[in-house]
Amino acid sequence: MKILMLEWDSFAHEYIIEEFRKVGYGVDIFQWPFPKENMRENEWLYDRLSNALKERKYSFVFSLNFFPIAAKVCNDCKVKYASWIYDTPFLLLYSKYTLLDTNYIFLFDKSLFYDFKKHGIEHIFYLPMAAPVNYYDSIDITEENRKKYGSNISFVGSTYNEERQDFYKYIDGINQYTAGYLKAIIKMQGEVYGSFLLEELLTDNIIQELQRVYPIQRGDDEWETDAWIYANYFLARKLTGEQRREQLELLGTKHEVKLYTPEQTPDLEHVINCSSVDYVNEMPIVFKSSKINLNMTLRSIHTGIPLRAMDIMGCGGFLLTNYQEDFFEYFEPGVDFVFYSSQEELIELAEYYLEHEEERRKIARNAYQKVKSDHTYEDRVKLILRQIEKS
Amino acid sequence: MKVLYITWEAFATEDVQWELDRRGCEVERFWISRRENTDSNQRIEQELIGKMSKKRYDFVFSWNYLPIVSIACNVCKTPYAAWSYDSPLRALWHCTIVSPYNYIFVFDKADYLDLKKMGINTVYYLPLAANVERYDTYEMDDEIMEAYQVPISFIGSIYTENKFSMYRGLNWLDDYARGYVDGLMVAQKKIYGNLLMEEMLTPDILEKLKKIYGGSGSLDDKFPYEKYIGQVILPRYITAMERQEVLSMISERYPCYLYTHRKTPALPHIINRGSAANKKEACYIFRYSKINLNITLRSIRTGMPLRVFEIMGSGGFLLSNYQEDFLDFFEPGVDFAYYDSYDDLLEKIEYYLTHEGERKAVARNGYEKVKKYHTYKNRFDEMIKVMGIE
Repeated sequence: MKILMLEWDSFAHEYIIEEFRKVGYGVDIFQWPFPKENMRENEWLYDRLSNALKERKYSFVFSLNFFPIAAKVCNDCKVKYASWIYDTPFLLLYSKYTLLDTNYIFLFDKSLFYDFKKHGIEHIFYLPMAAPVNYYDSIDITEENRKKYGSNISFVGSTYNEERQDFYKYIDGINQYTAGYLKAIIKMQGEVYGSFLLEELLTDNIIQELQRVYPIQRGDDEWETDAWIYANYFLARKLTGEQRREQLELLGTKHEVKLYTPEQTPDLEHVINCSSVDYVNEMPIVFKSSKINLNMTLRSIHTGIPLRAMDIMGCGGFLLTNYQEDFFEYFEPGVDFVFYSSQEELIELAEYYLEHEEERRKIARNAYQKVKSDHTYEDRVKLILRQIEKS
Repeated sequence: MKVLYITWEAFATEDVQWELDRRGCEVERFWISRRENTDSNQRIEQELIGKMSKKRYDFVFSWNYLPIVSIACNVCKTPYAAWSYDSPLRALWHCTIVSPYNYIFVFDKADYLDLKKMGINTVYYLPLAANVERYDTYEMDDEIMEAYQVPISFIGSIYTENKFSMYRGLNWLDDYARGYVDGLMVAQKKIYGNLLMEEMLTPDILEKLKKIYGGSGSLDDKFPYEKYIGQVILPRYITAMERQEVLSMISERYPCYLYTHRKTPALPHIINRGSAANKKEACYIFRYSKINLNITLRSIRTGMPLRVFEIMGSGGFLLSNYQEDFLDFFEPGVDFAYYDSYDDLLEKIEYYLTHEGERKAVARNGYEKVKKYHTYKNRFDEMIKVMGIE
């Protein structure tokens, strides 16, 4: 029994490969040229992947996130293609190739799952992210590391300021009315957690102006709307970046706050910018040695539990997150984690849990136990295999 | 008990009179028209003081809060029970509000909590009420039922009147500010249960709005300007847009009856019946319509408007927008139904139109609960208890 893994620079692939191997699958690695290559129409890549599938018999192909070209090849070669989406927005998912019956698509966000289910995709499943708890258990924290990586409050993530991430610059040329309108709806969305309004708030006249300044080019297989792209890629990112910066700075005026991010943040005077951390080797140390670990979800993730949050809990860290609906499916607020749904709440809760060490530790321990017993890659891989082997 | 009842054009004037009569109170009425200045008015104050010094009243009552009445009550050491049904109520920012003779009953919990937070101890939370006894006197007969048994009704203004066409004033803003204000309103329209306008107004935008709306001399200095824009002006526009959209959406799909005092050319499918002729007709409309809508004026942040008590108290089925205060007293899906988006609204209309048994059970539950706990008798019991003048 063999699996072909399309490996690219994603998080967590090593943990998944390990679990597949543990249950007796051989895993061959196919170096997957994402994001370098065209993932929709690409003859060269089509041939390479179909040759690989012809050379050897695979039970199925697996990738983190979904690639239309891979779905097409698998369908033509009659091989099952399992993909596990942990990013949203993920533009490549909005492809008509998701409809192919060889696909097994696993989505980490429940609202996304419902969206896609509506379209009549046969094998589509809700599958939250997971944490490699056994691996995290093996990491011992030295005093030196605790000093280096630990903090009262830590956040690992982008502020969406860096060149590559800042989409807003493309729409600099919009007219004044639209600029004011977008400013207002972003500000309003900022106050509302748990309901994504930005897309439906883009009225026809606003969309027309955005199209004038930055028309969306799309492939033949794409079916997402322009409003979806503008709202999720442009506006949600802008909001997330602004809000992360504002809230970290605010927390920083009162507490020690460390930010692990690739960007420079000279405007955040009260935040200690520690630059980026390595996902596998360093990030767990941050989570294990910080009193409070923040999760400020990218706003285009409408209900899902971000990978970061699973990792925090799987490391035995204390998690303070913005409100995300999917948490409530598995975790109990105030018992396993703590959530805020306004800036005031964030500040109050941070203050409270810094002062109440016993409570903080207890909550972190509860979450850790829960993740260890139900939310490891071992559990997820079993679920994936059960779905694939079922039909 | 001797009561001085300050009356004005308030909607529920006679229901209070009914209750005071029922209790056997000796009621004297004193009329102060809405046109009078009630913040400061020496002539009326003197008249009131004269009246109260000739005769001892156990308490003075008025709908909403009139500062000049509070001043007179303070001079004559007479308790003043004021019951709000507008929100925000500008008079509550008047400096007299802390007078020791005041008992101010606020129907909107968010307003009540704000005042409490400001350290004002003369306020109490008291939702509005229904005169179920009166509604019950209206006979049922088949002919009336025939006339009023329609799928969906709404009684209320759609705010196209002159004072709301102030909306056009926004056209004087520059493009950026206009876009900003439009963005705020369109977003707020989608959000129920949290009025965010005031905190969203930047100093720059406020300054520009001030140039347009600032001139109106009726502004009370103590009522903050950002509150005036954020909690009075913009919510009205939002409500106007919302009622227009909701009624348009519904009337395209179902026979939808609107009782309002204006013509509604922008709603071609609506069946506009003009104003309800009288209170009796209003009761019939509520009782026999399959679904009665409540689309709350957006400046009422959490409170239950008078309409909803009248609907439930008349035995009507109520479908309301989400308002937080409901959940203090009523169970959704049991006593009433609520919606929190347009899609939700359409789904619930379809559901309750096709589930008659459930609809009738909900209406009955709402009626029983209002009859038992939310009558004017319940409320005056409460007010008298708070004032300690049993």
